[in-house]
Amino acid sequence: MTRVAPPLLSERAGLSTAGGSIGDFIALLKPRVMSLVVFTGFAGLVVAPGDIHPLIAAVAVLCIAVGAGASGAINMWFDRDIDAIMNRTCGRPIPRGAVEPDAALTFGGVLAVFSVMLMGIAVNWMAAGLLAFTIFFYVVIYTMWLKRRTPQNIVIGGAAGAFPPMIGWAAVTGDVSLASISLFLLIFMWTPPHFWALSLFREGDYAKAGVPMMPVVAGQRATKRQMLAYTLLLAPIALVPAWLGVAGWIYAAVAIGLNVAFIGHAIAVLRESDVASPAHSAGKGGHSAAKAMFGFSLIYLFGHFAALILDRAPGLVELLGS
Amino acid sequence: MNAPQKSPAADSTNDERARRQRARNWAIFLALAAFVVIVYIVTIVRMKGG
Repeated sequence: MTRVAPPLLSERAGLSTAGGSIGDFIALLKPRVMSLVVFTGFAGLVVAPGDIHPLIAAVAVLCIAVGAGASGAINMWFDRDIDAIMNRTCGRPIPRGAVEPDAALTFGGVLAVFSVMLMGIAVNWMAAGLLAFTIFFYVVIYTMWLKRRTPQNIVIGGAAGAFPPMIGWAAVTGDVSLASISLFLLIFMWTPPHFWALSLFREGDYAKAGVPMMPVVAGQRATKRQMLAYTLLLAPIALVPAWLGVAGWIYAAVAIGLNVAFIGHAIAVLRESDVASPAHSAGKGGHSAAKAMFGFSLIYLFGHFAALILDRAPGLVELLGS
Repeated sequence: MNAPQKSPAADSTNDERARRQRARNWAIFLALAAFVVIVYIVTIVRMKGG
């Protein structure tokens, strides 16, 4: 007599029982976030005064990338319950059943330790300390403590995303200076309007998951007013690197243009009517100004750091001046 | 009496699990090898730099 084994519960539920693929583990690293972190870290490294061997510089960038990815993996492990609820995140490897939560935690933890140790051994211990603090800040302060407790979550938690240029700077100089803090402040003040633009058109998602994002707690109007306030405060801060001599006139010109446009976007968001039901917030229309501002915010940050790098490109300023 | 027979779906899942496990093992091996090579090259560079 033959007996056919019944399919596993996870098979019936359509879940993978084969363990995560390499692609699933790469997805745990949040590659899109990592690319912005790497770019800003690289910019900090380029503009810092002093010399660094190209290979050591490459290792520093690698460590920043891996450290950021490790933070992302641990964040996905901790947030797996709310990720499963939100439309934006339900396709991530853990809620999809592709990667076991424990595997994601181990993966993130091992990468975090390796990235910090390698940074310390290969580059310097100031850069390694800043990298370790960044990972700690993102995982413990933002993900575990602030995210589910206060609408100021991304205001304070934004510091984690603002450290990479300081790490890049410290990789060259071995210290923290006013100039590197000005690069930190640029990202720190940019984060609230960037994230609140996203949370305006994803408000339903956050409300469903119980995450107290600003539009969920204070309403859309108050969020829009705060977005404008932050963009107005951000504009002079964005010019500080030029004032401190970290950047030249290419950066200053680009920064003025980008900040005028960013303030314009914030005014457009404020003038846009509030959407009555958060059902619209799952991306089915409404909040077109907020969506436009979110898209522009990525160009804004990329533009500033690209201009910083261009300002230091050998011979470019002389070429444009001739 | 015959032993219980596995379903074709369970067989394919086992094959897929083994394939992914092999891929993960290779990835870990390559990552560790890259780490060793990086530490070695960095040591040489730093020694040359005094």
